[in-house]
Amino acid sequence: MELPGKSPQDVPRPLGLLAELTFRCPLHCPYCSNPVRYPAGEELGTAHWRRVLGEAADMGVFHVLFSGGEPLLRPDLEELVAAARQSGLYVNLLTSGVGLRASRAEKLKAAGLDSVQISFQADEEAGGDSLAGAAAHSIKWKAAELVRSLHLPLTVNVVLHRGNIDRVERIIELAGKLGAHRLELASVQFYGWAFRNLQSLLPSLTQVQRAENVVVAAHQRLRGQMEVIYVLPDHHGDRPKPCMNGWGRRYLTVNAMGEVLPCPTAYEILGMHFENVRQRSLSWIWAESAAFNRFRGTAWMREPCRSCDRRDIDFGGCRCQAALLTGDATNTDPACALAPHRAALLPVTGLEQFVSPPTLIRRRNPEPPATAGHSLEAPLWQ
Amino acid sequence: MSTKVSTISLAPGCRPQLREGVRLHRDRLSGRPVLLFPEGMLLLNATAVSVLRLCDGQHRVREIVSTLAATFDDPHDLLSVDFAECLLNLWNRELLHLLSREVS
Repeated sequence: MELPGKSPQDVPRPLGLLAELTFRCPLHCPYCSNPVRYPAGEELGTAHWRRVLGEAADMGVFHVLFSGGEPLLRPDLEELVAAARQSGLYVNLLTSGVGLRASRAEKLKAAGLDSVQISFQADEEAGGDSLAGAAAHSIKWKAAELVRSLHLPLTVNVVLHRGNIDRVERIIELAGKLGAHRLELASVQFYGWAFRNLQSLLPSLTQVQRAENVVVAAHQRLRGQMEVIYVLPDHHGDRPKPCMNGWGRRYLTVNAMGEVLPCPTAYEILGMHFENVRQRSLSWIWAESAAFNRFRGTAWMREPCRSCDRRDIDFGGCRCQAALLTGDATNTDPACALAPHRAALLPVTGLEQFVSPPTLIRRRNPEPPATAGHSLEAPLWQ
Repeated sequence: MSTKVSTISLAPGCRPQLREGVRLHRDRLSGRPVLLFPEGMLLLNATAVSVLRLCDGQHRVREIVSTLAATFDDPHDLLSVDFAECLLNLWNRELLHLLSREVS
Protein backbone atom coordinates (compact mmCIF):
# COMPACT_ATOMS: atom_id res chain seq x y z
CA MET A 1 0.00 0.00 0.00
CA GLU A 2 1.28 3.41 -0.84
CA LEU A 3 1.70 5.99 1.85
CA PRO A 4 -0.62 8.96 1.49
CA GLY A 5 1.05 11.72 -0.47
CA LYS A 6 3.95 9.47 -1.42
CA SER A 7 3.63 9.67 -5.20
CA PRO A 8 5.24 12.81 -6.64
CA GLN A 9 1.97 14.22 -8.00
CA ASP A 10 0.45 14.01 -4.52
CA VAL A 11 3.26 15.83 -2.76
CA PRO A 12 2.05 19.36 -2.09
CA ARG A 13 4.18 22.42 -2.50
CA PRO A 14 5.60 24.04 0.65
CA LEU A 15 5.04 27.78 1.00
CA GLY A 16 6.84 28.67 4.20
CA LEU A 17 10.02 27.63 6.00
CA LEU A 18 10.46 28.27 9.72
CA ALA A 19 14.21 28.38 10.36
CA GLU A 20 14.91 28.00 14.09
CA LEU A 21 18.52 29.15 13.90
CA THR A 22 19.32 28.59 17.58
CA PHE A 23 17.61 27.44 20.76
CA ARG A 24 19.61 29.97 22.82
CA CYS A 25 17.60 32.96 24.05
CA PRO A 26 18.01 35.80 26.54
CA LEU A 27 14.35 35.39 27.59
CA HIS A 28 12.85 32.65 29.73
CA CYS A 29 9.16 32.73 28.83
CA PRO A 30 7.13 29.94 30.44
CA TYR A 31 5.25 29.29 27.16
CA CYS A 32 8.28 29.05 24.87
CA SER A 33 7.66 26.88 21.80
CA ASN A 34 11.17 25.41 21.90
CA PRO A 35 11.50 21.76 22.91
CA VAL A 36 11.47 20.96 26.61
CA ARG A 37 14.16 18.40 25.86
CA TYR A 38 16.60 19.73 23.33
CA PRO A 39 17.81 17.37 20.61
CA ALA A 40 21.44 16.35 20.93
CA GLY A 41 24.15 17.76 18.75
CA GLU A 42 25.58 21.04 17.60
CA GLU A 43 23.88 23.97 15.93
CA LEU A 44 23.78 23.83 12.17
CA GLY A 45 26.55 25.90 10.57
CA THR A 46 26.36 28.66 7.98
CA ALA A 47 27.13 26.45 4.97
CA HIS A 48 24.33 24.01 5.81
CA TRP A 49 21.85 26.82 6.32
CA ARG A 50 22.80 28.42 3.00
CA ARG A 51 22.18 25.10 1.26
CA VAL A 52 18.82 24.67 3.04
CA LEU A 53 17.66 28.16 2.01
CA GLY A 54 18.56 27.54 -1.63
CA GLU A 55 16.78 24.18 -1.61
CA ALA A 56 13.69 25.72 -0.03
CA ALA A 57 13.50 28.38 -2.75
CA ASP A 58 13.93 25.67 -5.43
CA MET A 59 11.01 23.74 -3.89
CA GLY A 60 8.75 26.76 -4.30
CA VAL A 61 8.88 28.18 -0.77
CA PHE A 62 8.02 31.91 -0.73
CA HIS A 63 8.68 32.87 2.87
CA VAL A 64 11.49 32.16 5.29
CA LEU A 65 10.93 33.02 8.96
CA PHE A 66 14.21 33.31 10.83
CA SER A 67 13.39 32.45 14.40
CA GLY A 68 14.84 30.68 17.42
CA GLY A 69 15.49 31.00 20.36
CA GLU A 70 16.85 34.39 19.51
CA PRO A 71 18.11 34.49 15.90
CA LEU A 72 20.15 37.66 16.58
CA LEU A 73 22.51 35.47 18.63
CA ARG A 74 23.76 34.01 15.34
CA PRO A 75 26.65 36.15 14.10
CA ASP A 76 25.98 34.85 10.57
CA LEU A 77 22.38 36.16 10.48
CA GLU A 78 23.23 38.92 7.98
CA GLU A 79 24.83 36.36 5.68
CA LEU A 80 21.80 34.07 5.91
CA VAL A 81 19.40 36.96 5.26
CA ALA A 82 21.40 37.88 2.17
CA ALA A 83 21.48 34.27 0.96
CA ALA A 84 17.73 33.90 1.45
CA ARG A 85 16.90 37.12 -0.35
CA GLN A 86 19.24 36.26 -3.23
CA SER A 87 17.41 32.95 -3.59
CA GLY A 88 14.19 34.91 -4.05
CA LEU A 89 12.69 34.33 -0.61
CA TYR A 90 10.71 36.92 1.36
CA VAL A 91 12.72 37.29 4.57
CA ASN A 92 10.92 37.65 7.91
CA LEU A 93 12.82 38.01 11.19
CA LEU A 94 11.06 36.83 14.38
CA THR A 95 12.93 38.27 17.33
CA SER A 96 12.69 39.26 20.97
CA GLY A 97 14.33 42.53 19.91
CA VAL A 98 17.14 41.95 22.41
CA GLY A 99 20.41 42.56 20.60
CA LEU A 100 18.93 44.60 17.76
CA ARG A 101 21.13 47.68 17.83
CA ALA A 102 21.20 50.34 15.09
CA SER A 103 24.30 49.07 13.29
CA ARG A 104 22.99 45.49 13.24
CA ALA A 105 19.54 46.53 12.06
CA GLU A 106 21.03 48.60 9.24
CA LYS A 107 23.21 45.68 8.13
CA LEU A 108 20.23 43.33 8.16
CA LYS A 109 18.19 45.74 6.10
CA ALA A 110 21.02 46.18 3.61
CA ALA A 111 21.27 42.37 3.36
CA GLY A 112 17.64 42.24 2.20
CA LEU A 113 15.53 41.78 5.32
CA ASP A 114 11.85 42.32 4.38
CA SER A 115 9.97 42.42 7.68
CA VAL A 116 10.45 42.15 11.44
CA GLN A 117 8.25 40.62 14.10
CA ILE A 118 9.01 41.57 17.71
CA SER A 119 7.47 39.69 20.61
CA PHE A 120 6.16 41.58 23.63
CA GLN A 121 5.09 39.83 26.81
CA ALA A 122 2.87 42.66 28.11
CA ASP A 123 1.91 46.27 27.46
CA GLU A 124 4.12 47.58 30.28
CA GLU A 125 7.56 47.02 31.70
CA ALA A 126 6.93 45.35 35.05
CA GLY A 127 4.55 42.72 33.68
CA GLY A 128 6.65 42.12 30.59
CA ASP A 129 9.95 41.74 32.43
CA SER A 130 8.42 39.51 35.06
CA LEU A 131 6.97 37.14 32.47
CA ALA A 132 10.11 37.08 30.32
CA GLY A 133 12.35 36.56 33.34
CA ALA A 134 14.61 39.31 31.97
CA ALA A 135 14.74 43.11 31.83
CA ALA A 136 13.71 43.17 28.20
CA HIS A 137 10.61 45.33 27.76
CA SER A 138 12.34 48.70 27.33
CA ILE A 139 14.91 47.09 25.01
CA LYS A 140 12.07 45.70 22.87
CA TRP A 141 10.49 49.13 22.73
CA LYS A 142 13.75 50.66 21.40
CA ALA A 143 14.16 47.82 18.91
CA ALA A 144 10.64 48.38 17.58
CA GLU A 145 11.33 52.12 17.15
CA LEU A 146 14.53 51.27 15.33
CA VAL A 147 12.69 48.93 12.95
CA ARG A 148 10.16 51.63 12.10
CA SER A 149 12.87 54.29 11.68
CA LEU A 150 14.42 52.05 9.00
CA HIS A 151 11.01 51.81 7.26
CA LEU A 152 10.78 48.06 7.76
CA PRO A 153 7.26 46.75 8.37
CA LEU A 154 6.76 45.79 12.01
CA THR A 155 4.62 43.00 13.42
CA VAL A 156 4.07 43.00 17.18
CA ASN A 157 3.39 39.53 18.55
CA VAL A 158 1.90 39.02 22.00
CA VAL A 159 1.03 35.64 23.46
CA LEU A 160 -2.21 36.03 25.40
CA HIS A 161 -2.64 34.10 28.62
CA ARG A 162 -4.40 34.32 31.94
CA GLY A 163 -2.02 36.98 33.27
CA ASN A 164 -2.23 39.51 30.42
CA ILE A 165 -5.45 38.84 28.49
CA ASP A 166 -7.45 41.37 30.55
CA ARG A 167 -5.07 44.09 29.34
CA VAL A 168 -5.62 43.39 25.65
CA GLU A 169 -6.94 46.91 24.98
CA ARG A 170 -3.66 48.36 26.30
CA ILE A 171 -1.68 45.83 24.29
CA ILE A 172 -3.46 47.07 21.15
CA GLU A 173 -2.57 50.64 22.15
CA LEU A 174 1.07 49.64 22.58
CA ALA A 175 1.20 48.22 19.05
CA GLY A 176 -0.42 51.42 17.73
CA LYS A 177 2.11 53.63 19.50
CA LEU A 178 4.95 51.60 18.04
CA GLY A 179 3.59 52.07 14.51
CA ALA A 180 3.09 48.34 13.96
CA HIS A 181 1.62 47.24 10.62
CA ARG A 182 0.33 44.04 12.18
CA LEU A 183 -0.53 42.88 15.65
CA GLU A 184 -0.67 39.16 16.30
CA LEU A 185 -2.58 38.29 19.45
CA ALA A 186 -1.85 34.61 19.85
CA SER A 187 -3.68 32.67 22.52
CA VAL A 188 -1.19 30.52 24.32
CA GLN A 189 -1.05 27.03 22.82
CA PHE A 190 -0.57 24.24 25.28
CA TYR A 191 2.42 22.23 24.13
CA GLY A 192 5.92 22.00 25.49
CA TRP A 193 6.66 24.57 28.18
CA ALA A 194 3.12 26.01 28.14
CA PHE A 195 1.60 22.58 28.77
CA ARG A 196 3.76 22.30 31.85
CA ASN A 197 2.45 25.69 33.01
CA LEU A 198 -1.14 25.13 31.96
CA GLN A 199 -2.77 25.95 35.28
CA SER A 200 -0.94 29.26 35.48
CA LEU A 201 -1.52 30.31 31.88
CA LEU A 202 -4.99 29.13 30.87
CA PRO A 203 -7.49 32.02 30.76
CA SER A 204 -11.06 31.51 31.94
CA LEU A 205 -13.92 31.42 29.46
CA THR A 206 -15.10 34.83 30.74
CA GLN A 207 -11.66 36.33 30.11
CA VAL A 208 -11.56 34.91 26.58
CA GLN A 209 -15.01 36.27 25.68
CA ARG A 210 -14.21 39.74 27.05
CA ALA A 211 -10.98 39.85 25.08
CA GLU A 212 -12.71 38.69 21.92
CA ASN A 213 -15.14 41.64 22.04
CA VAL A 214 -12.27 44.11 22.46
CA VAL A 215 -10.31 42.55 19.60
CA VAL A 216 -13.26 42.46 17.18
CA ALA A 217 -13.95 46.15 17.83
CA ALA A 218 -10.27 47.04 17.33
CA HIS A 219 -10.11 45.00 14.15
CA GLN A 220 -12.90 47.16 12.66
CA ARG A 221 -11.63 50.45 14.07
CA LEU A 222 -8.06 49.99 12.83
CA ARG A 223 -8.85 48.72 9.34
CA GLY A 224 -6.47 50.20 6.78
CA GLN A 225 -3.95 51.10 9.50
CA MET A 226 -3.03 48.02 11.47
CA GLU A 227 -4.01 44.44 10.85
CA VAL A 228 -5.17 42.83 14.09
CA ILE A 229 -4.91 39.06 14.01
CA TYR A 230 -6.44 37.06 16.84
CA VAL A 231 -5.50 33.43 17.20
CA LEU A 232 -8.35 31.99 19.25
CA PRO A 233 -7.73 29.49 22.00
CA ASP A 234 -9.03 26.18 20.69
CA HIS A 235 -9.99 24.88 24.11
CA HIS A 236 -13.17 26.92 24.17
CA GLY A 237 -14.48 26.10 20.68
CA ASP A 238 -16.34 23.21 19.02
CA ARG A 239 -14.09 22.66 16.05
CA PRO A 240 -10.33 22.18 15.98
CA LYS A 241 -7.94 24.54 14.24
CA PRO A 242 -6.63 23.50 10.80
CA CYS A 243 -3.23 22.96 12.35
CA MET A 244 -0.39 24.05 10.02
CA ASN A 245 -3.03 23.97 7.26
CA GLY A 246 -2.46 20.24 7.14
CA TRP A 247 0.53 18.07 8.04
CA GLY A 248 3.32 18.31 5.45
CA ARG A 249 1.11 20.44 3.22
CA ARG A 250 2.25 24.09 3.41
CA TYR A 251 5.00 24.51 6.00
CA LEU A 252 8.17 22.96 7.26
CA THR A 253 10.49 23.71 10.16
CA VAL A 254 14.23 23.21 10.27
CA ASN A 255 15.43 23.42 13.86
CA ALA A 256 18.75 24.57 15.29
CA MET A 257 20.29 21.10 15.08
CA GLY A 258 19.16 20.54 11.48
CA GLU A 259 16.16 18.29 12.11
CA VAL A 260 13.22 18.87 9.76
CA LEU A 261 9.75 18.87 11.34
CA PRO A 262 6.26 19.22 9.82
CA CYS A 263 5.42 21.51 12.75
CA PRO A 264 7.71 23.19 15.31
CA THR A 265 6.14 21.22 18.18
CA ALA A 266 5.99 17.83 16.41
CA TYR A 267 8.68 16.59 18.81
CA GLU A 268 5.76 16.22 21.28
CA ILE A 269 4.66 13.10 19.37
CA LEU A 270 6.65 10.27 20.86
CA GLY A 271 8.28 7.74 18.58
CA MET A 272 8.67 10.05 15.60
CA HIS A 273 12.03 10.18 13.88
CA PHE A 274 12.96 13.43 12.17
CA GLU A 275 15.49 13.41 9.36
CA ASN A 276 18.40 15.84 9.46
CA VAL A 277 19.53 18.16 6.64
CA ARG A 278 23.11 17.07 7.36
CA GLN A 279 22.22 13.66 5.89
CA ARG A 280 19.41 14.33 3.42
CA SER A 281 18.22 17.02 1.03
CA LEU A 282 15.33 19.17 2.14
CA SER A 283 13.23 18.13 -0.85
CA TRP A 284 13.75 14.41 -0.12
CA ILE A 285 12.74 14.92 3.51
CA TRP A 286 9.64 16.87 2.45
CA ALA A 287 8.50 14.38 -0.18
CA GLU A 288 9.77 11.01 1.03
CA SER A 289 10.47 10.93 4.77
CA ALA A 290 8.27 8.86 7.06
CA ALA A 291 7.67 11.82 9.38
CA PHE A 292 6.26 14.06 6.65
CA ASN A 293 4.09 11.30 5.19
CA ARG A 294 2.81 10.03 8.53
CA PHE A 295 -0.21 12.39 8.69
CA ARG A 296 -0.19 13.83 5.19
CA GLY A 297 -3.53 13.84 3.37
CA THR A 298 -6.54 12.04 4.87
CA ALA A 299 -5.82 8.30 4.45
CA TRP A 300 -4.28 8.02 7.96
CA MET A 301 -7.49 9.24 9.60
CA ARG A 302 -9.77 7.25 11.87
CA GLU A 303 -13.44 7.85 12.37
CA PRO A 304 -15.05 10.29 12.93
CA CYS A 305 -12.48 12.27 10.86
CA ARG A 306 -12.29 9.79 7.98
CA SER A 307 -15.88 10.34 6.83
CA CYS A 308 -16.23 13.91 8.11
CA ASP A 309 -17.10 16.57 5.55
CA ARG A 310 -14.62 18.89 7.27
CA ARG A 311 -11.64 16.54 6.89
CA ASP A 312 -10.13 18.69 4.13
CA ILE A 313 -10.84 21.88 6.09
CA ASP A 314 -9.40 21.18 9.53
CA PHE A 315 -7.39 18.01 8.73
CA GLY A 316 -8.53 16.43 11.99
CA GLY A 317 -7.04 19.26 14.04
CA CYS A 318 -3.69 19.15 15.75
CA ARG A 319 -1.66 15.90 15.87
CA CYS A 320 0.49 17.16 18.73
CA GLN A 321 -2.55 18.00 20.86
CA ALA A 322 -4.11 14.60 20.10
CA ALA A 323 -0.87 12.91 21.15
CA LEU A 324 -0.43 15.02 24.26
CA LEU A 325 -4.00 14.69 25.57
CA THR A 326 -5.04 11.21 24.37
CA GLY A 327 -1.69 9.44 24.11
CA ASP A 328 -2.25 8.65 20.41
CA ALA A 329 -1.52 11.12 17.60
CA THR A 330 -3.95 9.37 15.20
CA ASN A 331 -6.95 10.25 17.36
CA THR A 332 -9.24 13.16 16.51
CA ASP A 333 -8.02 16.33 18.23
CA PRO A 334 -10.05 16.59 21.48
CA ALA A 335 -10.66 20.27 20.56
CA CYS A 336 -13.33 18.88 18.19
CA ALA A 337 -16.79 18.39 19.71
CA LEU A 338 -17.10 15.13 17.72
CA ALA A 339 -13.91 13.65 19.15
CA PRO A 340 -14.35 10.37 21.04
CA HIS A 341 -11.67 11.65 23.44
CA ARG A 342 -13.40 14.99 23.98
CA ALA A 343 -13.28 14.38 27.73
CA ALA A 344 -9.49 14.59 27.58
CA LEU A 345 -9.96 18.33 27.16
CA LEU A 346 -11.95 18.68 30.39
CA PRO A 347 -9.03 19.22 32.74
CA VAL A 348 -8.05 22.05 30.44
CA THR A 349 -11.43 23.72 29.95
CA GLY A 350 -13.01 23.06 33.34
CA LEU A 351 -10.92 25.60 35.16
CA GLU A 352 -13.29 28.54 35.49
CA GLN A 353 -12.24 29.02 39.09
CA PHE A 354 -8.56 28.88 39.84
CA VAL A 355 -6.83 27.81 42.94
CA SER A 356 -3.48 29.51 43.49
CA PRO A 357 -1.43 28.59 40.43
CA PRO A 358 1.86 26.77 40.83
CA THR A 359 5.15 28.55 40.29
CA LEU A 360 6.00 29.08 36.63
CA ILE A 361 8.46 26.67 35.10
CA ARG A 362 10.79 28.74 32.95
CA ARG A 363 12.32 27.61 29.69
CA ARG A 364 16.03 26.99 29.94
CA ASN A 365 18.80 27.35 27.42
CA PRO A 366 20.56 24.35 25.97
CA GLU A 367 23.87 23.46 27.57
CA PRO A 368 26.90 23.63 25.32
CA PRO A 369 27.03 20.21 23.67
CA ALA A 370 29.66 18.39 25.70
CA THR A 371 28.66 14.84 24.87
CA ALA A 372 26.59 13.90 21.89
CA GLY A 373 24.09 11.06 21.79
CA HIS A 374 21.77 11.82 24.67
CA SER A 375 19.28 14.46 25.64
CA LEU A 376 20.63 17.65 27.18
CA GLU A 377 17.66 18.26 29.44
CA ALA A 378 16.08 16.09 32.07
CA PRO A 379 12.34 15.49 31.75
CA LEU A 380 10.42 18.00 33.84
CA TRP A 381 6.92 16.66 33.49
CA GLN A 382 6.08 13.41 35.19
CA MET B 1 -22.78 52.85 13.60
CA SER B 2 -20.77 53.61 10.53
CA THR B 3 -17.44 51.90 10.34
CA LYS B 4 -14.46 53.16 8.49
CA VAL B 5 -15.08 50.65 5.74
CA SER B 6 -18.36 52.18 4.67
CA THR B 7 -17.09 55.75 4.76
CA ILE B 8 -13.91 55.20 2.77
CA SER B 9 -14.17 55.92 -0.91
CA LEU B 10 -11.65 55.92 -3.65
CA ALA B 11 -11.28 59.60 -4.48
CA PRO B 12 -10.15 60.15 -8.09
CA GLY B 13 -7.39 62.44 -6.82
CA CYS B 14 -5.84 60.10 -4.26
CA ARG B 15 -2.58 58.31 -4.92
CA PRO B 16 -2.43 54.61 -4.01
CA GLN B 17 0.88 53.21 -2.83
CA LEU B 18 1.88 49.71 -1.77
CA ARG B 19 2.89 49.72 1.88
CA GLU B 20 6.41 49.12 3.12
CA GLY B 21 7.31 45.46 2.90
CA VAL B 22 4.75 44.69 0.17
CA ARG B 23 6.39 43.67 -3.07
CA LEU B 24 5.69 42.09 -6.43
CA HIS B 25 7.45 38.82 -7.11
CA ARG B 26 7.47 36.22 -9.86
CA ASP B 27 6.96 32.62 -8.75
CA ARG B 28 10.03 30.74 -9.95
CA LEU B 29 8.07 27.48 -10.43
CA SER B 30 5.01 28.68 -12.32
CA GLY B 31 6.19 32.06 -13.56
CA ARG B 32 3.01 33.59 -12.12
CA PRO B 33 3.06 36.97 -10.44
CA VAL B 34 2.50 37.05 -6.69
CA LEU B 35 2.31 39.78 -4.09
CA LEU B 36 4.48 39.11 -1.05
CA PHE B 37 4.07 40.85 2.30
CA PRO B 38 4.92 40.10 5.95
CA GLU B 39 4.13 36.42 6.54
CA GLY B 40 1.63 36.31 3.67
CA MET B 41 1.08 36.24 -0.10
CA LEU B 42 -1.55 36.66 -2.84
CA LEU B 43 -1.59 35.17 -6.32
CA LEU B 44 -2.12 37.88 -8.92
CA ASN B 45 -3.50 37.95 -12.43
CA ALA B 46 -1.99 40.07 -15.22
CA THR B 47 -4.51 42.89 -14.73
CA ALA B 48 -3.72 43.14 -11.03
CA VAL B 49 -0.02 43.40 -11.85
CA SER B 50 -0.70 46.28 -14.27
CA VAL B 51 -2.70 48.04 -11.55
CA LEU B 52 -0.15 47.49 -8.81
CA ARG B 53 2.77 48.65 -10.91
CA LEU B 54 1.06 52.04 -11.05
CA CYS B 55 0.43 52.13 -7.27
CA ASP B 56 3.66 53.94 -6.58
CA GLY B 57 2.33 56.92 -4.61
CA GLN B 58 2.85 59.15 -7.65
CA HIS B 59 -0.07 58.29 -9.96
CA ARG B 60 -3.56 59.44 -9.06
CA VAL B 61 -6.53 57.10 -9.28
CA ARG B 62 -7.96 58.93 -12.29
CA GLU B 63 -4.64 58.67 -14.13
CA ILE B 64 -4.32 54.98 -13.40
CA VAL B 65 -7.85 54.30 -14.65
CA SER B 66 -7.15 56.20 -17.88
CA THR B 67 -3.89 54.34 -18.43
CA LEU B 68 -5.54 50.98 -17.85
CA ALA B 69 -8.55 51.82 -20.02
CA ALA B 70 -6.17 52.60 -22.88
CA THR B 71 -4.09 49.47 -22.27
CA PHE B 72 -6.96 47.00 -22.06
CA ASP B 73 -9.44 48.75 -24.33
CA ASP B 74 -12.12 48.32 -21.67
CA PRO B 75 -15.17 50.50 -21.04
CA HIS B 76 -13.94 53.21 -18.69
CA ASP B 77 -16.79 53.06 -16.15
CA LEU B 78 -16.76 49.30 -15.77
CA LEU B 79 -13.01 49.28 -15.29
CA SER B 80 -13.34 52.02 -12.66
CA VAL B 81 -15.62 49.85 -10.56
CA ASP B 82 -13.40 46.74 -10.79
CA PHE B 83 -10.36 48.82 -10.07
CA ALA B 84 -11.90 50.48 -7.01
CA GLU B 85 -12.92 47.10 -5.67
CA CYS B 86 -9.44 45.71 -6.15
CA LEU B 87 -7.75 48.65 -4.41
CA LEU B 88 -10.21 48.83 -1.51
CA ASN B 89 -9.70 45.12 -1.01
CA LEU B 90 -5.95 45.65 -0.72
CA TRP B 91 -6.51 48.67 1.55
CA ASN B 92 -8.72 46.53 3.79
CA ARG B 93 -5.89 44.05 4.11
CA GLU B 94 -3.47 46.81 5.09
CA LEU B 95 -1.39 46.29 1.95
CA LEU B 96 -2.00 49.70 0.41
CA HIS B 97 -1.89 53.34 1.48
CA LEU B 98 -4.31 55.80 -0.11
CA LEU B 99 -2.44 59.09 -0.05
CA SER B 100 -4.87 61.97 -0.25
CA ARG B 101 -2.66 65.03 0.12
CA GLU B 102 -1.60 66.88 -2.98
CA VAL B 103 1.89 66.24 -4.29
CA SER B 104 3.93 69.27 -3.34
